[in-house]
Amino acid sequence: MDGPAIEIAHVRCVFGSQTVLSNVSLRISAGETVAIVGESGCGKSVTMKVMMQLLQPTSGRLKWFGKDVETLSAVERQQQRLRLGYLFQGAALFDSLTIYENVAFGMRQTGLQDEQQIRSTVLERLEEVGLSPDIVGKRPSEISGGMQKRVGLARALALSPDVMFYDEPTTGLDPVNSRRIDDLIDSVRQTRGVTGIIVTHDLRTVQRVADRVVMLYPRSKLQNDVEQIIFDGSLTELANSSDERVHEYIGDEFTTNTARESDMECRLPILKSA
Amino acid sequence: MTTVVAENRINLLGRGIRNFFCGFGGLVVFMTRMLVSLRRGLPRRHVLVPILYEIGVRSVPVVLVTGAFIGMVLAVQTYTQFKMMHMESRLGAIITMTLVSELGPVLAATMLAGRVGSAMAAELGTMRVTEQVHAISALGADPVSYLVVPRFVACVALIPMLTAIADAVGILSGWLFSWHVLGINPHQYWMYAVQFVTGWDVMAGLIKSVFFGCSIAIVACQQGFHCGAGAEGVGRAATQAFVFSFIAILGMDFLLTVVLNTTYYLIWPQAVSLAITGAW
Repeated sequence: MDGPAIEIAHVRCVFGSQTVLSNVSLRISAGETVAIVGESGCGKSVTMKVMMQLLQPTSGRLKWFGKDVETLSAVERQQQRLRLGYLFQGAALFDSLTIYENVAFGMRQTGLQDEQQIRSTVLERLEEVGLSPDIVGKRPSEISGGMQKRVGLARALALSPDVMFYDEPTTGLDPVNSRRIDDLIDSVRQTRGVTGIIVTHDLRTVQRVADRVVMLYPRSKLQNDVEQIIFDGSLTELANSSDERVHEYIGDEFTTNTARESDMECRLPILKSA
Repeated sequence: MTTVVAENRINLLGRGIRNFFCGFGGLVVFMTRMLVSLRRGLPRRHVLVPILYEIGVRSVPVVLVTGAFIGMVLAVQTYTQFKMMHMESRLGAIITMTLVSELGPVLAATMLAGRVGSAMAAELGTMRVTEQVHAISALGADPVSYLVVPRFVACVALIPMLTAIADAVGILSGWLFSWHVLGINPHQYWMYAVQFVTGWDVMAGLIKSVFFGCSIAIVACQQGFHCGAGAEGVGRAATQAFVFSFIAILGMDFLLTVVLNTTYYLIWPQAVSLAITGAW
């Protein structure tokens, strides 16, 4: 893939009298996994929704795979959008549909596959995220939060996206399920080469899956002309950052090597059982 | 001090006017989006059928009950007045006319706004709050096509049928009550009903109902799509969907009655003289 997968330039987002994002620019290269972190209300999720074009910024430009989204026709935009997958914070499964219908939703909307192909893809994706085919007839309310997240991931992966957005993928999950989701994110990158953009508060997730970390700072706490992205670099650079605001957020325990090693130990039994 | 109070009032008035026009503009934009989506094609059967069932079939009981009671209430209310003028035998005419041209469409629409409009706003509002609407976009579908168009089609297609049911049940219940309780001759009831109610009256009622169905669907879906955050936002959207739909129904009823009456007398000018001289 040539050029950056996703690019936003000079994005400004104003809701009523509140400016959430101001002059935010970010390039996400193909194949990398970027974690966007920062304290609550700093505009992480808004940034990601702008990248996915689920929110229209007040001003600024958005590029998908090197193409300015504003210049694309409706059909082209639709085609490009199908290359992007999104795992929502609360999974956002459709309550009125079964698990099968949820995972099949995107494929049915595109109309490119017959029902037989859709069925086999649904079962494959569910297997990929470690779910039994027995749950296909259940409603989202009948399965646990961790399973809902995995169904959400299966639904997003069903369309074979090139870029995956993960909005707080481990929030509200117990440590076992959190690790399972982290492993899935990592596995999606390893097996499919999918570009990942993760919004999270969970630094363990950052340590486990991210190549690059971007830290946003709340607009309200900054002077007008100060850059809202206060850190953009690797995990090692994050651990060694001299910026007090970065240090305050990550704490003293954040080290890249120990995190990776301890993580591998935690992960091995899960991978073996899977 | 007085100047500050006056300024505040002017501010409030200005804000109210601005909010009204912003709200109305939002409704027009939403309706345009819906019509553009509708032009691309009708909803798929597996999406439309459950909505038709929810809006149409499940509204029948409430429309039956309302229609039946209104027919009887009309009989009770008009009987005393008509008896004073020795015209009680013509009860069928007034019950049928009132139901077919006014009460049937308005009542069916009110029931639909209360039962279905609020539910649609709450459902879409919950979907918005839980990011399901965003999920539809993220999966390459248009939320307006998937969520709003089927509800609009179902409301518009089914409300004339619900109105016809309300009309029929009201007329029948009025007839039964007039006959068994008030002692009106059934032959006279039906004779005057047929004599005074024309096909145009029935059509006018059904035409009104289509407009009411449009307004219910648009207002309810727009409220749901733009609801505020959390349970409070969803609750407010459901309430506002009913209140605004009801206001729209009454406002449109007035306008449509004026327009349809004018059209009627333009097509049949001789009816004006009949109306003035009195067919009674």
